[in-house]
Amino acid sequence: MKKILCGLLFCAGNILAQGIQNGQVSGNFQSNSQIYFEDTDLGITADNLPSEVFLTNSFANIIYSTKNFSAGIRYEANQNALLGFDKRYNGEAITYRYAQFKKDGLDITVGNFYEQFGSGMILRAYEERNLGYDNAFDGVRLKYSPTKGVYLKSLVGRQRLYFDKAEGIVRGIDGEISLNETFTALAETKTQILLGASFVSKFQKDLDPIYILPENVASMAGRFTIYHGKWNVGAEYVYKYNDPSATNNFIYKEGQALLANLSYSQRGFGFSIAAKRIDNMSSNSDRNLKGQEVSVNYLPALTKQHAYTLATIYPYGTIANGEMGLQAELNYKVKKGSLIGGKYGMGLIANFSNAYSIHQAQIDAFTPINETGTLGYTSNFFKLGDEKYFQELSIELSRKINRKLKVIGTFINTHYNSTAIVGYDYHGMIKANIIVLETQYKIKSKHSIRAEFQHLSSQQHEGNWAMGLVEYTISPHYFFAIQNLYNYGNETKKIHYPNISAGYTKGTTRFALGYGKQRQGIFCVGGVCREVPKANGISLSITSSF
Amino acid sequence: MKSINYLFSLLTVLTISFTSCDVIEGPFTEDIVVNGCEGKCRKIFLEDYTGHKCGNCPRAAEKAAELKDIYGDQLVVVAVHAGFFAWPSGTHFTTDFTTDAGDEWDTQFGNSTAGNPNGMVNRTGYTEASHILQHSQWAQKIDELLQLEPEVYIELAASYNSSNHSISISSITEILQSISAPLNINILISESGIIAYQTDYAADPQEIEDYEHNHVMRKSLTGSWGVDLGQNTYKAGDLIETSYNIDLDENWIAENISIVAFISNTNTYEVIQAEEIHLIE
Repeated sequence: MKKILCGLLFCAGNILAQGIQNGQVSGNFQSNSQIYFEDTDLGITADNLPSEVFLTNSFANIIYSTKNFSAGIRYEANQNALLGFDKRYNGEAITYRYAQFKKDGLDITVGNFYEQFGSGMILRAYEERNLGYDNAFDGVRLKYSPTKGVYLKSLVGRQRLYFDKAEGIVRGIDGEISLNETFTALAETKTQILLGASFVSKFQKDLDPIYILPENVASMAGRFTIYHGKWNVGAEYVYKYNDPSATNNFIYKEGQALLANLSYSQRGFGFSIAAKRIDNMSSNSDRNLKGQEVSVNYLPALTKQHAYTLATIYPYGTIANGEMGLQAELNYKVKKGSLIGGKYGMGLIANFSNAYSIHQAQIDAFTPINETGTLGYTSNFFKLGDEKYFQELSIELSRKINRKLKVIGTFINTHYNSTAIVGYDYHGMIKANIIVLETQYKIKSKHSIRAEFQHLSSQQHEGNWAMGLVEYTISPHYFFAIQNLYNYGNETKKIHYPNISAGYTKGTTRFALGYGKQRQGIFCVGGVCREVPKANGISLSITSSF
Repeated sequence: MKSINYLFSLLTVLTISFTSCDVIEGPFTEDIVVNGCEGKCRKIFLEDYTGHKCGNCPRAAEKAAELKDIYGDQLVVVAVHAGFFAWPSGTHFTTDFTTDAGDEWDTQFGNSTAGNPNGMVNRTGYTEASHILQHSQWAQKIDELLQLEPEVYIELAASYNSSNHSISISSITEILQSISAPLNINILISESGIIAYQTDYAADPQEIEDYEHNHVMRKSLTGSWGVDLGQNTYKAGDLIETSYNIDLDENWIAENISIVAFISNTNTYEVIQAEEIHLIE
């Protein structure tokens, strides 16, 4: 390891002292706080309220940068962490610090950094603060462009684990070439081709007295993207060597992932289709940790990311141990002046996505599928499994009625295998239809009002939901909103979840104050999820930047 | 020259990366040699924090059983049902396996909030917040701790009175090495062979009606944090005797009951010795 660091830093010795004067300082700050109350409807009593009553998550980034140099820190103070965030986030510390220098095509980072190779299926370190997710590296990264159109990256580091670091070390290298940039003969061609390849290896000592565990686990990937006029096609394939871990029940099978996409786009019309196959592709830099903790890679969900509240009740979370799925989306703008399009035209977005289990078969007649300490199972690459995990069809129509009024209507049909995705409450396949009607009305200059009516109907889980929202905005400073979710179809208890909120924005600083109830559920971003607990309280959010 | 350096750095990483892969082709397990326990040897206390509605918890119970097979008397296993997944609910999960002591331990050590299943091995690492271990980490920690010489030894005896379904327990704690710390003794009742519902995500159906729950902690006779052994320093050869009586719950089956004792450092919570005997051999 020392050799690698020496190698990486050998070339950086004299240039780090240059060009760090006449810089500027920038930064941002965010604080989310909540006071929690008892709530008999929600079953929140004094016994299960947080003892602190008031909880707050805060952080600030401060960055000094010049033309070729930047350095920064992030200070976090979670005193104590909001409900729903892991308690190991309680505390305060400088959780991110780095120095970065760019010169002659070389980019060196020491300290913390985020990174992604290709689509991220082999390596991705990123932060999603709303999920309490941060798997930043702490180590050394080197980026270099030896010639035009060729981009190389290498890194070595350990990943963040709450206020600590993972036991394992991750090493990686990625190369990408743009043929059109590199070869002058191709510079003028209409077709642009990008090729890329990655190699990642993680190390963790084997101290297990029972199993012989691989201390170095490697994975490799190849990818391409071709742009041709309005067309775009691309794919990435990842192969991972044996990686017995807590997520895959310590089987020694290899992992594979394939992601392919095709899209077409022109004015007023576009479509895209993407397909994936994931087989035993969880990768954590500590083999004993599951899910999102120190995850080395990112496996995309390939489902539509919804913003409407009722449409987020059943979000899909990627099943890293194995899934096959696809997503297709169509965008179409009905022309102005037509019967359907009216004076301003009408927008149509249709999306379909699904995910199934992969085929699995026993490795022999005596070994159960997924038995610890075996090769686990065999799988036909092109064959689906028996279980449907998810399916969703959504259609969104948006039409401007006149200069002041715009209407958006959305229909979503969801099939959600709650047992496989979140494993809660044993409701099996939940089928739901969601209808949303949104109106945006401009009352006068700087004054606008937005209203949403949402309805979710389901025979399973918590039954039917209805929701209404009214939001009044006085640009650019104020907003006021009132909403209520009503779980009127719940056979156990019909509960209202009212909320009121208001906000004030001045320059780059924003204050938002809210009071109300929060339903218990799963919150996901891009297939990565966390549980959100039920709550009743006052929330305050402050964001600012300079 | 600089370009050469850059390429050299990249090639260094490349070379090391490409050699960084271990492919295990089998066998995948090692033959463990356990020296056995004769005389006054160290025994390890494994707490499996679990719940009957926790669908991944049977994997931890299987691991505990596997380790018990390997380490035999040198491993004392207790299944602590605590937290959300352990609460009775619905028509199937009506058995209340929780205990006052288990709930207090769970609150103190944070096991269920960290996500079941998990456990602790001798409660080591508590002050450094590294005490909660996934079941895949248990073997490693047990193996590490078994290398240490015992500091104390517990001699445990129990007699069962079938006429009133009660038991009498006596213990003698023998100090084997000088210790400069307050110690306490904890006496627990555990029961195996309990047939009740358990969720298992790997089973079909996932709610198993006749699941066998083993090593279930039923009660602590010494409160949540044990009974002080009376001194702040101990010297080799010291003997401390304690005794307890308890009327068993009418639903507990005497043949399936075990008595568990462990000695822990009062300041650090770390367990330094454990013992287990079956009430009826």
